[in-house]
Amino acid sequence: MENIETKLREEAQRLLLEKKADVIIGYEKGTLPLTATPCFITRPEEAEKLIWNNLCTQNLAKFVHDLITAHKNSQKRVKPEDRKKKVIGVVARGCTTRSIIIHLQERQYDRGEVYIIGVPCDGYVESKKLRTAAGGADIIEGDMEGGQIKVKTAEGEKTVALKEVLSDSCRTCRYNNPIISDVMVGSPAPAMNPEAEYDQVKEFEAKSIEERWAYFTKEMAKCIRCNACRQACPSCYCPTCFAEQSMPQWVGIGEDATDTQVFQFMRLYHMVGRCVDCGSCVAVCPMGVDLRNFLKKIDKDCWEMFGNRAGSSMEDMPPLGKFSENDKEDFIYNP
Amino acid sequence: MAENLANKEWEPKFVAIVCNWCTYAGADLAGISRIQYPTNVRIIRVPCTGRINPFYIVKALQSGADGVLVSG
Repeated sequence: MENIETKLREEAQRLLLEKKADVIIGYEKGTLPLTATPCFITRPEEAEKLIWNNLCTQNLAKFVHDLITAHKNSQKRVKPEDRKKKVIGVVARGCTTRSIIIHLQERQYDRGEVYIIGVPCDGYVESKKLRTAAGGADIIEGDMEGGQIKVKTAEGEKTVALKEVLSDSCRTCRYNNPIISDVMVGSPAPAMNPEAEYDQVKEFEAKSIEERWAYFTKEMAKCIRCNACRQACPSCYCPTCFAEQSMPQWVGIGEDATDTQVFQFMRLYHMVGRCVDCGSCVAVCPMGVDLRNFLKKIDKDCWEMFGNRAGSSMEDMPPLGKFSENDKEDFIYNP
Repeated sequence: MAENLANKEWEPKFVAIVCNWCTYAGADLAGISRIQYPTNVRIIRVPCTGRINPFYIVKALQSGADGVLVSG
C-alpha cells in the first residue's frame, strides 16, 4: 500500500505541474483516528497529503459531479469564447469509476473533463463495524498493519482482523479494479468474492411477504431523514430533489412514518440500473439503516431482467433508457 | 393487509389511473351502455399514461389505496 501511496503522490504532483488537471480529488488522513476524508488538491506541493489505504471510504465521483456542475454554472455568464475548461483529476477505485461511467452515460460531463487516476482496491473498513468490533466505545487511537487493526478505546486495546470489518459491499465486490482510467497506479488487486454477491438478497427473497414488509418498516422506522444517503450518493445529483419539491409536495416534512417510507422507496426506485453498490450511503447513515439489502435486490432484478450491471461498461446504455427487441416480456401474460 | 384478507366482507379500494383516449373512453362507453362496474374503483383521468409519474402510484398507496390500476 505504501508503494501505491508514493506513486499516487508522484502522479498527482505530475498532473498538477503539467497542468493536466486543475484539481485532484483524493483522500487525506482524517481528523479522527482510523479515518480518511476526501480532500481537494490544487497545488503540486500539497500532493504529499494524499493517502490510499483501507480507510478511504467515500465514493469520490460525487465530488467530480459537484465540481463540474459548479464550474459550468459559474461559466454561464461568461462569453462562449472566454469560457475555461476545467479538468478534474480523481483518485478512483472500481466503484468510483463505475459511478463516473454512469455520469458519462447520462451526459453529465465529457470524458475529457475528468482525469482518472485508477487505484486497485481491496475493500474499505466500515466504521460502524469497526466500532462494534472494538467494543462500542469511541476509538482513541488506531494503527493498521498487515491485515490487522490495533484499536485503542477507553475500555482498553484490541486487535481486529481487517477482513472482519470490511464493508459488506466490498466482500462480494465484482469490480474492485478501475474499469476505465487514464493512468493506473499499482498492480490490479486480487478478486473478491463476487459469487456470493446475491446471497443476502436470495435469503431475503425467500421470506414471506409479511416478513419482508415487516423488515422494510422496521428498517425505515430507524431513518431520521437526514438525507445523508442522498448527499453521499454519486447517482443522486438532481438540482432539486423530489424530497424538497413543494409543488407538488411528494414527501411530507413531518415525522409521519409513511413519508419516510415514501422517501426511501422513491430513492431506491431512482437507483434502478444506477446503483454501483459502493456502500457510501450505508457508510454515512448515522442510524445504521440497512439500505444495501434493498439496493442489492434492485441490482439483482436489473441484472436478471436487462442483463445490465450499473456502470460496468462504457458501451452499455442505461437499462431504463434503452429499448431492445430482446427485452423480456414475460410480465405480459394472458390470465 | 393480512387482517384485511382474513375478513371475508372486506373489499379493497382501488385507484385507477387511466388514459383519456382509450381506457377512459372505454369506461365511458360502458357507462353509456349501462354496464355496471364495481364501486370500489376510483378513476383518475390523465391525458396519457405516459404522463404518469411513479410517484402517483406510491402516493396513492401511501394515502390508503389497496391497489393501483394503470391502464391505457
